[in-house]
Amino acid sequence: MGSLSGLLDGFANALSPMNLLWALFGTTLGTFIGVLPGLGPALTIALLLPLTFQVDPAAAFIVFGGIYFGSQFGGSTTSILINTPGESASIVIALEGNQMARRGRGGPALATAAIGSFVAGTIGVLCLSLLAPVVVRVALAFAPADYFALMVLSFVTVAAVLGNSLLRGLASLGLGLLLGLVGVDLQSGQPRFTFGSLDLLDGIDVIIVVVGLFAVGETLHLAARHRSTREEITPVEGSLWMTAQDWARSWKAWIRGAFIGFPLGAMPAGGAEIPTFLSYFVEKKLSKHPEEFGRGAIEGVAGPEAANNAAGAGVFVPLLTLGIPTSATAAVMLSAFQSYGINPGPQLLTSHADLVWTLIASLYIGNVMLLVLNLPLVGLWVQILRVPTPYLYGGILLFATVGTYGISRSVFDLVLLYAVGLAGFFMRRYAFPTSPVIIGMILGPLAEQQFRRAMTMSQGDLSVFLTRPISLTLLVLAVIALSAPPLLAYRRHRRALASA
Amino acid sequence: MLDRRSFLAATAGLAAATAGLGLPAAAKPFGSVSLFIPGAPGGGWDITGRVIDEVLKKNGLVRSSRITNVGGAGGTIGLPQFINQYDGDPNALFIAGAIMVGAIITNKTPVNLGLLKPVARLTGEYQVLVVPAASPVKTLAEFMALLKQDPKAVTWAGGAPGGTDHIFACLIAKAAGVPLSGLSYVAFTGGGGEAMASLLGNQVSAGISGYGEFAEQIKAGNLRALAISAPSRVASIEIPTLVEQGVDVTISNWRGVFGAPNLREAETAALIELATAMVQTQDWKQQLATRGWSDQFLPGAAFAAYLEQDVAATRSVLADLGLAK
Amino acid sequence: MSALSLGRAQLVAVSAAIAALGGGAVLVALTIPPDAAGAVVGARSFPVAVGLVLLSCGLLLLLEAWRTPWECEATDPEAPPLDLVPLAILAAGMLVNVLLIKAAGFIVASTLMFAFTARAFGARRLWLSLLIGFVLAFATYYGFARMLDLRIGGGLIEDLF
Repeated sequence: MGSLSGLLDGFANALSPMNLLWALFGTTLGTFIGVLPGLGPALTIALLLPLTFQVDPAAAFIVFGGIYFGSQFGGSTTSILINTPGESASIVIALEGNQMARRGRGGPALATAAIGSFVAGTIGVLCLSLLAPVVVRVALAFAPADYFALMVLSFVTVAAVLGNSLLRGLASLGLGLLLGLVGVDLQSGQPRFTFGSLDLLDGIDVIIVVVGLFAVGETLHLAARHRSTREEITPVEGSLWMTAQDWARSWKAWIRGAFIGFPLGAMPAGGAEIPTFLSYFVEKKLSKHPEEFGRGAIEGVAGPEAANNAAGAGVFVPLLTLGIPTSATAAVMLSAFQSYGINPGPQLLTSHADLVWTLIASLYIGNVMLLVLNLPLVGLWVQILRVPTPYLYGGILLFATVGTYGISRSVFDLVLLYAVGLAGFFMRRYAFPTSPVIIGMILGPLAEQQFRRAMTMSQGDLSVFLTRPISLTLLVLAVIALSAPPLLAYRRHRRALASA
Repeated sequence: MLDRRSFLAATAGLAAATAGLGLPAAAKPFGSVSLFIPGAPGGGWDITGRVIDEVLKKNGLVRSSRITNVGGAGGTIGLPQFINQYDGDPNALFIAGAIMVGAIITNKTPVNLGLLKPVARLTGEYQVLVVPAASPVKTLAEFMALLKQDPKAVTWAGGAPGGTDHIFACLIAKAAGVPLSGLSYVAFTGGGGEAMASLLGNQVSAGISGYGEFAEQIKAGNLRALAISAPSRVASIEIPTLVEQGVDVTISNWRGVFGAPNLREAETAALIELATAMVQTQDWKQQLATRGWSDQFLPGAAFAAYLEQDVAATRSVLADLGLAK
Repeated sequence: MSALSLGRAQLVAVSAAIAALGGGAVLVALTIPPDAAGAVVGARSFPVAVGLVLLSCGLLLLLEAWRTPWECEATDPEAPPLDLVPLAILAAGMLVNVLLIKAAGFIVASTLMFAFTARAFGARRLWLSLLIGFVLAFATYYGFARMLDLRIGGGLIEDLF
């Protein structure tokens, strides 16, 4: 159990009153960053990188860990309370979370998100300590063909967020796929759908579409009806805290979410989006209350939030075992290692084990601090809903500007943001679901690249998807996911008939 | 996960964050520098950019900096974005290199490096051909034999089409007398983690990149280096050259920094001065040594002239290989 | 049932627009040159496929809209008619933001947009919305944009400090 004792040493290095203050600073800053759309942890951590010149590694890593997990939680907070996810991984959390908030259950939604983050973070850190070498071997076994099969499975599970019309959901997905194609082709370098415009060559930023469809679209939609329909948003109804039933429905979702999120986060081309969709799908299928999905099912918040957080811990697997950064945040963490005179690489864990364990312990401390900080604040966050509508939506549009124009200083992006917002308005009016657009935009280019790589490697032989065990397993899962619900419904129907 | 603009990171001094709030943006010429990296985290440009960032900050040449990664298609996604968003920005540095020259020609990208202000060529690096540790191939000769036997079965992981990696693969294949149209070259554009993962996971037969990106994994025994593209042995790198193993292929990959379009002459001069100050620091020299980069510092006008030559030379190589007309 | 027929007309128009978008995408995609580098699957295949998906979705939706219009705000006879006034005010605010953000800076442009937005949602006191908007924009700029070194640019107020 060398890793467990290593972890304990890591805690011994990291736990000190001063470091707890650093943790508090990191999580608070991270939460605020996460609340603003478009600003991620990578940006903030990088900003604080010079901290590494002044403090010891434990303190620096604790701040970074706090920012990392804090910003994820901050993103979920706005998704739940005002339906404005600031990054693509939290759109799934907005689906059920915002429905809960509208029904006065914002408190329990935030609580299940906070505790779910904590549970997933715990599982993630434990897996990182004990299973990292195993997980990384599995992750490396994924070839382009397997990635493509994973994308197919993800596309199938997207059906879970398509809403009540398959056709309109598919149209939304198609729109997202089309938006994802705009720009220079990543494989061949050909410009596609750019119409000779320089502004479109680098593609359309997913953040612009996320913020446009949700924040701007929602604002336009509400503005058009606020004079005729008095839509009462109940800030708090019943308990601010989770009920026994909430607990009963959440805990399995947290654990399932964590075990979906961690391995996918560890994959070099994984990311946090796919695990959140998969977790949502799993929860919807396993729930005893499937009818509540779309109207505020707590499992639909608990699972994806846990998956998101565990994926965040999973990103450290390739970083710490192989020295490969697979996300912007991981790249910044690498720089932090370099500041301490360490060249991260495959021998990191053997040559600088103490530092690695300190980092892992620091991540965990950030995670605990997040819970300590945010649970008591749930009541305060919910007060956002009491802000008068005119100022709330004025503020949302202002933050949307910061998150887009503030990153690129491009007026074109701002115009695009509002155009996408208008599209979001029409989609709401004509009952097209908006999340499939984002999903299509993220998964489309990935699926296309992996498919083309797989075809290059197999010289155009399509059977490669069926001869590789991983790919075959994933495709079988996709077929089951597609065919199981109708089959189950059929059996239930038969049984109902028989008993009648 | 590689998408076009998601990799965004920024760095700035803590001092700037806490004390410098009230200072006007342009109080000192290089209070804050934007480093724009047209490649993914972990790739060659990313490593170069982050090294520059560290050296500049450690030596107090800039107070703060921010790094933006926009990877894909050999840098031809980041280039137009830089041109659009940083036009006339005197504090912005764009990392580029030979790979982009090739990618621009192959992709017929509507913008080119000529729109930017050449600041300095900084480093040169040789390409390395590696195989996964689990590969049965032990030597370059064995690799060439395998390639001749069934060219399509040999899969190569490398950077963008038309870039240095791709040209290197084509040159090796040409030396083996194999038709280039049948090359199974898998482009991991933007470089970085994904290409490395495909090699470590034994998904491809061979990999091509600059020495610096592979160095740590070669030392750890996870990758086996078959040959380096230098004309003669490089001190401190224990990899035989292609030439000494009887394959007449050499290629090198330069990297440098550019300023934003439409800078005034004084602004460009200030950036050149900054780069000149940087290459003279001890930290920079040490980084060159540990990473196996050769010092190819060439500032301003001389760099511009070199660039023109390189574009012409690359064009003729690409035409020769049938990758460009 | 005039609400329904008006709603149906809108759905037909939306479906036709989707089909047209899909068709247009296919046409544009066909102009993408096939790869020179000898790739097995080129840059053209996916765009064509995506265009075809959109085209078929649009056509099927057209059929559905024609036969049995689906339920949504536009076809709901209970739903109030589209209220264009607040939308116009909002759009004006966005336009002001787009036009001024480069010239006058983030704080000025966004304060004005905030006031427009608040007005669209029925705020009566213009001075109050301007004040709240200004404080918010000011705090965001100095609290976040400056601190995080965002590239939000200078402006009338930004350049003062």
